[in-house]
Amino acid sequence: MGDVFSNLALGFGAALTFQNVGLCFIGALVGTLIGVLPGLGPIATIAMLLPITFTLDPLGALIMLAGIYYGAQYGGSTTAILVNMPGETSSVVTTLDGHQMARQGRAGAALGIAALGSFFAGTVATFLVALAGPLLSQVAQNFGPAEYFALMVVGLVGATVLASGSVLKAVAMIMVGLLLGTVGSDLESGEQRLTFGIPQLADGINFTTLAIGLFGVAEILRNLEHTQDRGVLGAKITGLLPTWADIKQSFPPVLRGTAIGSVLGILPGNGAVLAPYASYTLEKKIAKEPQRFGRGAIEGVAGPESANNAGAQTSFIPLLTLGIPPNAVMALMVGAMTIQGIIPGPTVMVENPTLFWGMIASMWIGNALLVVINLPLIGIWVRLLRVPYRLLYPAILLFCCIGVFTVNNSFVDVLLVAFFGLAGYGLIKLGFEPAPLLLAFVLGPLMEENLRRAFLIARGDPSVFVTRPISAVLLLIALALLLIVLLPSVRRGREEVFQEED
Amino acid sequence: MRVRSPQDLVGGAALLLLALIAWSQIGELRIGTAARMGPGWFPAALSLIVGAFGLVLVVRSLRLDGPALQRWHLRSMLPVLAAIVLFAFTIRSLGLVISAALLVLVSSAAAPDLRWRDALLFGASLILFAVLLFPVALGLPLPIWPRM
Amino acid sequence: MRYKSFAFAALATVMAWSGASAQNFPTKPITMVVPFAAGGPTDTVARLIAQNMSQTLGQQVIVENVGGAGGTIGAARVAGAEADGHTVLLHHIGQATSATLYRNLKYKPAEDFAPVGLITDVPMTIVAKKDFPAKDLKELVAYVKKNPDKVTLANAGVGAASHLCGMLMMQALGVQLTTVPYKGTGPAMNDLVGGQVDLMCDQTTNTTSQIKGGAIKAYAVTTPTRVKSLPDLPTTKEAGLTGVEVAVWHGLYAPKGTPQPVVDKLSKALQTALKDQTVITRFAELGTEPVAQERATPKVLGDFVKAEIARWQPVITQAGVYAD
Repeated sequence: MGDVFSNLALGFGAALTFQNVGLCFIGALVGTLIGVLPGLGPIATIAMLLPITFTLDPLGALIMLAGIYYGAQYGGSTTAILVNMPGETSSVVTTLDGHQMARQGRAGAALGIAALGSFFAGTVATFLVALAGPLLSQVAQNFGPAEYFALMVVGLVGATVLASGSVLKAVAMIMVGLLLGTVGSDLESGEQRLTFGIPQLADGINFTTLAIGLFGVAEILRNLEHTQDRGVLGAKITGLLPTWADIKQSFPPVLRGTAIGSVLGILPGNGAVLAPYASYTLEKKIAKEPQRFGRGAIEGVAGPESANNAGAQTSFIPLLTLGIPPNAVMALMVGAMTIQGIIPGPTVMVENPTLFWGMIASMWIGNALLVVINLPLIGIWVRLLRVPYRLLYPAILLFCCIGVFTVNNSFVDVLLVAFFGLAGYGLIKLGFEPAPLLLAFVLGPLMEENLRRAFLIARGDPSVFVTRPISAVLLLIALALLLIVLLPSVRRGREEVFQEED
Repeated sequence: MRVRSPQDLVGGAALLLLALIAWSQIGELRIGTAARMGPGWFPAALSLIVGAFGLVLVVRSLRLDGPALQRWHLRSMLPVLAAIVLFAFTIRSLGLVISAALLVLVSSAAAPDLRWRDALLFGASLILFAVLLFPVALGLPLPIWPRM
Repeated sequence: MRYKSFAFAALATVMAWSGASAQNFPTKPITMVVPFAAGGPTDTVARLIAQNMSQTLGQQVIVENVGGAGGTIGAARVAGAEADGHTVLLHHIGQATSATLYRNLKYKPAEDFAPVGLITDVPMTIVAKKDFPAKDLKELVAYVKKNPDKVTLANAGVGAASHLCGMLMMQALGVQLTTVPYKGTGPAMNDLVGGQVDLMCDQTTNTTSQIKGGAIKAYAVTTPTRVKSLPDLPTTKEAGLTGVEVAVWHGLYAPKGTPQPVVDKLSKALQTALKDQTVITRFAELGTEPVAQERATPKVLGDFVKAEIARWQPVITQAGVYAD
C-alpha cells in the first residue's frame, strides 16, 4: 500500500507542474468544445493536435491528449442533454432522460449532475487504476471471444429496457439496428455486405452519421412542426444547478454507475461502450417508479454519466499496462507515445514510472478541471440556446453537416445524414424509438464478430459458450434479464386480449 | 377486416419492406451453417427476423386498437433535407462559404416564422464563425472557396 | 458583397495557376494522405517524415488520414488528385497487394501514380502466445506440421500485413491453419497476449514492446538480416524456414502526371528526412530503419512496386481470399 502512495506522490509531483496543469486545462477545454460540436470527435481532434504534441515533452503531450479525450466525452453529454444529439456512443443514453429534463427547464440540473457524477466516478476509477491496474488487466485477459459474445447478448437484452413504450416495437428496433450494423465488409472474407455498391459504405455506416441523422436531424424536423413550444430548453429554467434533493437522489445511482463502469472499462475490447447502457438498465429496473424513466428521471442521467466516465478512466488500464489500445482514441495515444519515443507496453510501468504515474495523477486533475470548466459553462449554454429556434436550427444543422463531413472527408456521409434524418422522423411518427436501434447498431457487429471468432477458435463446437465459466454466467444473466423484461408484458398482453374480448 | 391501428399497419409494412430490401441484397454471399457462419448468415437471419416482426405488427394492427397515423409535415421537412443534400454535393466543389450559405438559406425556409433579414444577418455571422473555427482554427481540411 | 467574392475568387484562381509552376513548388501546404487510421504504425512513419519534409520544403506538410477498404480509398483519392505535387500518398505494401486483392479497383496501383521513393522496410516477426509448446522455430515448424488443425493463426484483417505474412507462412509450411481475423492489430495482439489464439506474424512496430515485456514469445524475424532492436531473434532463413521473407515496405507517391522537377524535389526532401537523426532514432525504436538513400528515388520505387505486384499475385491467387 505504501508503494502505491509513494508512486502516486511521484505522479502528482510530475503532473502538478504549472505547465502540465495548463496543458491539462487546455486539453479538457478543447475537448469539451470539440465534444459539443457534433461529428467532430476526440479522434479527429487528437489527430489534428498530434503535431503540436511533438514539441512537448512526453508526459505533457499525453496529459493534453488525455484531457481532450475525457473533455470530449463530457461535451458529448452536453449536446445530448441540450439538443438531443449524442456526440458519442456513450452519450446516447443520456439523451433519454437528460433531454427530457432540459425540456422541463431542468437543463442545469442535468448538466450539473452529469459533471458531479462524472467527477466522483473519475476519482474512484483513478484510485482503482492506481491500486490494481496491472492486476485487473491480468483478470481481463480471461475474457475471450465467447465471453465478449455473452456480454454483448446481455447488453442487447438490456437494450429493450431503453424504450419506454411498446416492447414489441423496441425489439423490432433492436433487430433493425443489428441489420444496419451488418452493412460493410465482412471480417473474414472482405466481401461487401448490403452496401448497394457504394464504396464509402465499405467500412460500414458511421456511428456519427447514424446518430446525428436519427437523433439530431429528426429532432429538428420534429421541432419545426410546431411554431410554439419549440424552445430547446423548456419555458422556464428553474435554477442552473442541481438542488440538494437532486444530489441525494442521484448518489446511489452514481455509486452503482461507477462500479459498473469501472468493471466494464477494464475489458480490453472496448467493453466501456456498454457501461452507460448497463447502468441505465439497472437503474430503471430497480427504481420504485420505473415509468419516470424516459420522462426526465435524474437517475437516468446520474448513473450512466458516472458509468461512462468510470469506464473512460479504467479503459486506460489496458493501454498503460499492456500497451494495447482498447479503442480508436487510445490507438492515437499509442501513436503519440511512439512518436515521442516511448513504446507502450508492459515495460512502460517499469522503465518510465514518472510517465505512468504522472498520467494517472493527471487523470484525476483532468476530472477536477472538467468540473471547474463545465459548471460555469452551463450558464453560457443556456444563454446560447435562448436564441430563437428559427435561427438556431440552421446553425445546429450547419455544425452537424460540417462535423459529419470531416469524419471521413466523405460527402456520402452527409447524404446519409439526410437519409437517416428522414428515417428517424418516420420512426417517431410510427411510434418507434431510435435509442434501442442505435445501441444494437453498436453492439451488433461486436456480437457477430465475437460469435464467429469463438466458433472459429473452438472449431465449430457450440458448447464452448457454456463450458467456459464466465461466458456461461453471462448467458444466464441474459436469460434472467429476458424473463424479467418479458414477463410483465406477457401479462399485459393477456390483459389486452381480455379487454379486446370484452 | 378493419384496420384498427393504422400506425402499426404502416410500421409493420415498413419493416417488411426493409426486410425485403435487405434480403434482396444478400446476393451471392455465402450463408454457411450456424457453426461456420458465412458473411451472409447474419444479414439473412436478421432480414427474416425483421420481416417476421413486420408481419406480427401488421397482424396486430388488424386486431388491436392503436394510434392513428400522425401527419407528416412536408413543408418543414423538405427544406431541411434538401439543404443537407445540397451541402453534401457542394462542399467539395464550391467550398465551405458557398455550401454553408446554401444550407442556411434553404433550411431557413422551413421555419414558418421566418424573418429574412434576421436569418441573413445571423447566417452571415454564422458562416464567418464556421470558417474561422473549422478550417482556420482547427486546421480541418475543408475547402473554403470554390475550386477553380 | 458579390463583387468582393468575385474578386476573391479571381485572386484565388491566379494563385492556383501560379502554383502549377514547378519552379516555385511548393506554393501552398502539401497534403500527405495516409490511407489508414491515425495513430497506427503507417501514420507514425508518415508524421515523422512529414515533420521533417516541412522544414526542407518550406511549406507545411499536413497528414490527412483517409482510411478504409485496406488503404484503397485514400490511394484512390490521391490517384485522382491534381498532379501538381501538393498531394502525395504514403502507402505500404498494400499498394502492391491491392492490385490483386481488390478485383474492382477504380485505379491502377502501378500506373496511376508517380513514385517518389521508398521510405522504410518494417520487419515482421513470427510470434506466439506465452505458453505455446515450442522453444524455437524448428520446434514450431514441426509442431505446426504435425497438428495443423489444432493451431490458430491471427491476423489484422484481409489485406493487412499480418494477413499477407500469414499467407506466406502457411504456403511455405504447406499447411492450412485456422485463420482468425480481427479488426486491426490491437484486438489481434490482445487475444494473442491473452492466450486465446496461438500464432501471429506481425510488424515489429506492433510486437517489439510485447516481446520485450515478455507477454508473448518470438521465434524469428522475416528479413534477410537480423533486426537491431531484437538481436536475439534469428532470421527465418537462419532458422531453416525458407520462403517466409517479407518486410512491410513504405513508399511515397504523387499522382500520375506530376511534373518531373516537382517529383525530384519531393524525392530530395524525402532523402533529407531519411538522413535526419531524430527520424533514424524513432525508426529504430519502432524496430526499423530508413532505406538507403538511393532507394528513396522514383525509379527504384517504380520498379519495386511492379516487382512486388508480380510477387504477390500468385500467392494471393493461390490462397484465394480477396477483399471484394
